[in-house]
Amino acid sequence: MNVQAGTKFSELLSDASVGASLDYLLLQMRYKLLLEDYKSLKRQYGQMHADYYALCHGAILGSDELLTVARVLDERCTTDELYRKFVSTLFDLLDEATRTLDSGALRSYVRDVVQQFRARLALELLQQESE
Amino acid sequence: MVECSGFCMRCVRLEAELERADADAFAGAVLELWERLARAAELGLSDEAFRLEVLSVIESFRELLTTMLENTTQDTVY
Repeated sequence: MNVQAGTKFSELLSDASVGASLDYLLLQMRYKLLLEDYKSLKRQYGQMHADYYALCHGAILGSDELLTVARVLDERCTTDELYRKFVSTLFDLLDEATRTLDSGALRSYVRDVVQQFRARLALELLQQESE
Repeated sequence: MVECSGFCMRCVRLEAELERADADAFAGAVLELWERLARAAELGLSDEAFRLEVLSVIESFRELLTTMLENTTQDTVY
């Protein structure tokens, strides 16, 4: 995908050929934000805090790419520790959702989280089978 | 009789096996909690019942995590 400098975001959205790549674009934006936050947190609070932030956000976004980044940043964690942090974060978010969302939105949120978790699990099972 | 320092091959292997079993049990229990959430979302529960079920699952997870972390610190074999 070639995006010219100065292209308005609304123009980008109206372009059908870009639509399919929109998820990828959003991913790139999130990735850049994550890295900026990471550098800033590392300066302010030290590496452990920044690593944990990156780990959680990589996992929450449900993107394999971000999860890979998070794994690299948090390479001192074992896989089991990483998994515990991942599910703990999801349950913390779920807890926040029960306090902030109305009933309809909460149902959608739970369905979405469960779906993401199943997708990730399926991916891990596939990876285990191929190893 | 010489006492083991806890770092012989047998002890190290036992500790690794215990950790693996704990991690597998934890992952299995988490999976059951996700299934509970999935069922709750699919069943026609009232808004209040649904919210209570979600809170109950979160509470169960926290208990599970606490138990898991306690076991992890106690499992060390010497």
